[in-house]
Amino acid sequence: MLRRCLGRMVIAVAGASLAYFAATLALDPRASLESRSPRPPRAAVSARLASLGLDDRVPPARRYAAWASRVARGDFGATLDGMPVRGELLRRAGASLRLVVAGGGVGWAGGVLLGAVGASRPRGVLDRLITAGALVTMAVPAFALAVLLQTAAQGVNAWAGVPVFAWTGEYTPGAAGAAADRLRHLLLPATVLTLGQAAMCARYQRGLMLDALSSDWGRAALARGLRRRTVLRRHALRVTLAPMTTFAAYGFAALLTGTAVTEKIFAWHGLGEWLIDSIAADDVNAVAACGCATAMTVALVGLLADLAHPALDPRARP
Amino acid sequence: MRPPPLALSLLRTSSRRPGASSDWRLFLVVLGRLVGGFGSSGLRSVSVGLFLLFTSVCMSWRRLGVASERRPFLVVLGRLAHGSGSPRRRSASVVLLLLLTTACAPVHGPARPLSPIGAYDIAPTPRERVRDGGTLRLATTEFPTQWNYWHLGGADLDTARILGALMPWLFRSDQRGRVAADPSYLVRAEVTRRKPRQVVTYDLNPKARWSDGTPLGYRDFRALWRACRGRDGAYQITTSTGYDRIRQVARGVNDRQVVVTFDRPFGEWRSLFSPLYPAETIGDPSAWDRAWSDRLPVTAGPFRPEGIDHTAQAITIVRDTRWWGPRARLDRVVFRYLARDAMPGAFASGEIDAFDAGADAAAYRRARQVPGTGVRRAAGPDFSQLTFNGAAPALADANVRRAVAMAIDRRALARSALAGLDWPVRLLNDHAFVNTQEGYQDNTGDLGTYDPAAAGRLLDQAGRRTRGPTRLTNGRPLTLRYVYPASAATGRQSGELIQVMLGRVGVRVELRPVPDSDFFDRYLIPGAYDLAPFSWIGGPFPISNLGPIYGRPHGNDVRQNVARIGSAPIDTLLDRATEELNPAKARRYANEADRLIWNEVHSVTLYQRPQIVPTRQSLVNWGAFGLSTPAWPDVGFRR
Repeated sequence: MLRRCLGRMVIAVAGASLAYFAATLALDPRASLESRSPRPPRAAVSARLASLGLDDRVPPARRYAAWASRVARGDFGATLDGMPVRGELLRRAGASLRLVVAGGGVGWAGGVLLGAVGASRPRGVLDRLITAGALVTMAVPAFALAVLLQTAAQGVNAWAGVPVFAWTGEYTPGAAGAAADRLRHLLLPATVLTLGQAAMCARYQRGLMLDALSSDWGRAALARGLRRRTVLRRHALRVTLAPMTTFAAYGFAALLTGTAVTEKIFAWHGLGEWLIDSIAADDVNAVAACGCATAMTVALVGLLADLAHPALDPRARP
Repeated sequence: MRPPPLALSLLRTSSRRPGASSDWRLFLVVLGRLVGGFGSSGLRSVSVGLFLLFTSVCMSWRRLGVASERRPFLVVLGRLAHGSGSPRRRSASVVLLLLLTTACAPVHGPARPLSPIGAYDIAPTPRERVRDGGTLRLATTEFPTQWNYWHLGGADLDTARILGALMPWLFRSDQRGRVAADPSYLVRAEVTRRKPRQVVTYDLNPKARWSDGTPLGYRDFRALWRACRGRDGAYQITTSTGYDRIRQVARGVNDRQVVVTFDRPFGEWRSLFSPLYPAETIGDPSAWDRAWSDRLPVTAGPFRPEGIDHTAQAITIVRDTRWWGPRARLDRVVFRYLARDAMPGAFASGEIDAFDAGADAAAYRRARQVPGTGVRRAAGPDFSQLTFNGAAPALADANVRRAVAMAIDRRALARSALAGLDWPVRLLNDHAFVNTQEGYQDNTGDLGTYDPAAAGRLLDQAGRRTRGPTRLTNGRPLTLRYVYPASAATGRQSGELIQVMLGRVGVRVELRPVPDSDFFDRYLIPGAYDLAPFSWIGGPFPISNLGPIYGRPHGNDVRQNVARIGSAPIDTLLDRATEELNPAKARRYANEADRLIWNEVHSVTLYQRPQIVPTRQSLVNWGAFGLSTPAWPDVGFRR
């Protein structure tokens, strides 16, 4: 267990470091500052870059060392605007987490359910409908799906005469406390994520279940006269949950920064939007922090999935 | 982030493969319609389009004879679409498809008459007819964190818009860019001496006070000058234009009178000291950086900050009861940071009251259909242009540049860039002033008209003879590198058009998309391009910005003259325009310089960028401002 922990940590550190190098080599904060109109004096730009630890005259390895030692102490530096990255990172991670847990959670559960239903009668009408739905959902880009949902919600609002749905941000500014307002704002973006996750999980789950049925023990159980349904529900579902958890865990980590499109369209100020905005602004410290957060999340959920594995699969218990 | 032009690229793929079945073509057309239909024709065409898309996928797969085991979902959809597949039903479904295709045609409505675009469009309404109270919700394209406008990290247009309601801006501009003192802050401000040195005396409004109670005074002017004059590198500043010419800022007869003495005259002195900040918050470099970082400690305007919400990325300002000027009509204004892609949706859901759609045709179409919306439109202060690289071998000869400029149909470029916006094309023929601005005049000379025949003759005379379809320069084909930011769809479109236009006179054009952030720094500044399209930001004070753009480069330092084209007479005229204290004469000098700039073919201006602002109809004194300054106390909702 300890070795696993260490291994995951090494991977996280390596991932974060790679992210920093990618950011610092690919992005050019000097260009971004100098392209402002009117063009600022060169000395002012250099002073600013030096104060942020982004001076391009310092070799990248030295910059990396300085950055790494700061991050080890929990200090992610400042954005190009001079704001502390740490506070922003936590705030953004919170926003993304709320969206991903709601959308991804429902999507994952729904996907497992749909996949299981589909596998119970493969090539039946229901299975084909689910399969078709899943493939269609996966084929439609998130951007199109979001606009489609907004247009539909707009229709509902117009028909109802009261704004049932709202889809700009997490809540109406000034009404931060109201749970109903938050829920109203959560529905649409979470649905976009739910659909995508459910479609993927359903396909995966269906495949796993069918594999389980055609495995040695599955065929043995059927041969002994157990009903197909019973085998699926009692045995196959249980066995497939373990790989499914791993799959969902890594999917979750990818979602955390991978929801940029959804976040942008719904003005949800989370990590994905921040990453895209920071790349566009050549903000090295912010991009590196996003990379760091992703690396840590992947390591963490991997660890959690490892921990959950024995609980879900008796064969994995020591 | 703009959605990729999916329809276009896909349709092109289909034309490259003539053997593709008609179903595929239908599929592509439907896809094109679908993608083009977002925002325009609403739910109906989108849902119908989706249905069509998958139906045609099924039909195509059937024809292509994919083994049925491999496509269970297609079989399901195919059965759904075709019933059991009997010939009769199939023909019925084809009829249905055709019907749906026509139903899916984009709803454009009757063609709108293109009325000329005004200099501003804000539903001007007298204050008595504006309701007292209400909350205005607006979108900003950035969540500002540095509220010191003069700080290196501070100056962007949205921050300036918000600061306009909070801080003292001494002068206001009208829609034609004519500036006048704002009586809330200034009783009088004028040039009181010209010889031996220019002296400007400001008399501040005695009622003008910072929100902490201290009156506005000469100390605030002096602190801003000391920071911005550029002598002390510890101040991270965004510009020193104008301030570097000031010799002294002194107290006049009392604290409220400010006497500013210039070393060298500066005609656009009215652009200085706006916005003003209290001396103690900007007086030393550390305060300069920190006092306004993520907060607004002191203000002096019709509104005051109420709160900054980082999670929602919203800034709320409320009416300031201590304000001595006309009372603000609105109770509250909320500015929310939204990605451009989120704005039309936010407007449709009623969560913002207005947004600037710029030149985004899809956003414009979607917002236009929201009930109770008026689209306000004005020609903006920014303009679009095409810069020539005079240091590149291909364009070093002014006659070649002249020929290239004449062979480019600027009107066609403008028409394609502004398509779908119901926007009448009006070409911009002045580098110094935009069409709607005081001082604008046509300086193009013979470059203003599209004349490929004359261009061809000029190229012949310049020794760029044709061999086959292309002309040669020093034995090699005359090829121009057209460099544009990869994400700029208009940049690519214009490039394709220019490719065709110049192809007609035998000049080859290579399109080179480059990463957005590299565009200026790695291509324009080092001069690795021949033609480059981009926009310049304009405003009511254009003259002092001309020098860096059109003045000759000093050795390697091109400043903003990425064309590297200039001349001593242009420099002299620009200096004269900058130093002239009589605005009418200054404009004349600027236009004289511009005639020479056209003559050197530094760049060709295209059009004034549109401001298209979908607005709730009840909102008045707000919309497309053009060059004018918003009058915050008068903004509000109709009674």
